[in-house]
Amino acid sequence: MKKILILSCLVFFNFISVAQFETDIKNFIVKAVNEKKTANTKDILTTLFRAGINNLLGEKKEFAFSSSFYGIDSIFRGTGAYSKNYSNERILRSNSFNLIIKGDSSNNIAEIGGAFTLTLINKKDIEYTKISELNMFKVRQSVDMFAEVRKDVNMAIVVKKLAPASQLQASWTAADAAHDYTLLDSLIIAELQNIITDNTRRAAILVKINSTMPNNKLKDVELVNFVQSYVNGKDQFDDQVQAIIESYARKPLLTFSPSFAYNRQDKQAVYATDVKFTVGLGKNYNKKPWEVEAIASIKIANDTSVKSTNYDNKPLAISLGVNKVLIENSNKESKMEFKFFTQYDYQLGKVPAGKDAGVFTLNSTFRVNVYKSLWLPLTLKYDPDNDNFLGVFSITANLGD
Amino acid sequence: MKTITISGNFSGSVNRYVRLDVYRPNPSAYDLSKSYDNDFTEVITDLNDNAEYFIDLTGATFGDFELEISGEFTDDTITANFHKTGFKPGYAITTNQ
Repeated sequence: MKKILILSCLVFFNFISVAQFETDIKNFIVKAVNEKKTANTKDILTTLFRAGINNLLGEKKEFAFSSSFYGIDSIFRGTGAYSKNYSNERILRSNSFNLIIKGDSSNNIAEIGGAFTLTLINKKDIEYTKISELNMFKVRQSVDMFAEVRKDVNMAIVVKKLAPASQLQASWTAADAAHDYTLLDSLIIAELQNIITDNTRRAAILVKINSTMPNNKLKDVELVNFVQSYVNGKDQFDDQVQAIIESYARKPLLTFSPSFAYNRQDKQAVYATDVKFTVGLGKNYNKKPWEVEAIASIKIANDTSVKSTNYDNKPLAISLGVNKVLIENSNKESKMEFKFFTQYDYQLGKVPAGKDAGVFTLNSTFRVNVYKSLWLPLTLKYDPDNDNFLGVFSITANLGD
Repeated sequence: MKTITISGNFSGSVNRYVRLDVYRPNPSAYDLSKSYDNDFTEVITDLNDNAEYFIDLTGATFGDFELEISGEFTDDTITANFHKTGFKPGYAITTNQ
């Protein structure tokens, strides 16, 4: 049994090596989902699989593996695509099971346990969320605006025989793929500018757009601004779509995790449960998000100062903090995060002589995404009453982000 | 007359709105505009021989959208896929003789 913790580490690093081929795996299992969730959120509820070693440099390491039921289902389904009944998979994606192995200072397995993470509230996953009528109206109106403007521009250029259809369409498609409309053919830009200045031409386009939604007529100034954004090289339509996606990524997540473990050294069970809540802040979706996080947990375990079997150790922990995305890549995926949180630990069971029942600590976690799904979180814990500093260095891989 | 088939399939998205435009100017002007709220397959059977057409797809997906255009035109079957984005690809095809 000895060194099994090391075996766990090998399993973890095998997981990491698999994660390096993330693109292939995603093609096999599932395509990218939930990019805009923070790493902090994905630590609460994994999308597919999560593996981590906590207290990496300390004596008592902890190996944790989590899988959503969707992740397991994906392996056995093996079709490489979403199910057509995707919305029915909500339960599979909203719940996970966790395996936790704790080691002692000699790298023996001290405790092995399992847990379920059950989602009570999850508004973050836009894939199986019906978007509000207002947002869908905006999308439909933008679709019609873009389609009518593009058709008008294409027809005008082809009628004048200034360029073949293939040249124009290649330009539109390239700009769309890059979401960079500075790539548009100069002939197209000239026609877009003409639409902005030609009232008659614009009025004809407005009639076509408004014929599909007579109760919500598009205003001329809105069309001008829309066309101007493309002249300026911006993709206003996709910006709107991304803002909708980001708005859902900031909605609340509430999970409940009951767990059971067996401590091999004390030869008795350990029961624990926690409730975690997180919600994004801010309505400006161009700014990097803030998240509020609240966690409450309680554990019922052995008081090691007593040799016989007992359940006198009952620590309650309540924490409240904020998590901030510091760095994002061009796709607005989080790459670096900082979390500051306060925690109050209170011993509901037997309090050792000379110790306080309650301890208040100031904490921070700094997470850096080093490669694809691989994150390095460093947690610093400060006990101001006793002037103690504790650092916990971990490594996690969260596949499916 | 020539036939083409345009199909679009969404996955991982409750919201599935897409607009299809197939058009060409005179002579033999053609203008088809259709909107869909779900997966679709559009079979167009009234295209002129040896004629160039614009095909525009405009929509948004909060999951994935896969597009395929096949039929009696000179180039190979067109495929494309889009993930969590607004998508607006445009294609030009010339039907067979």
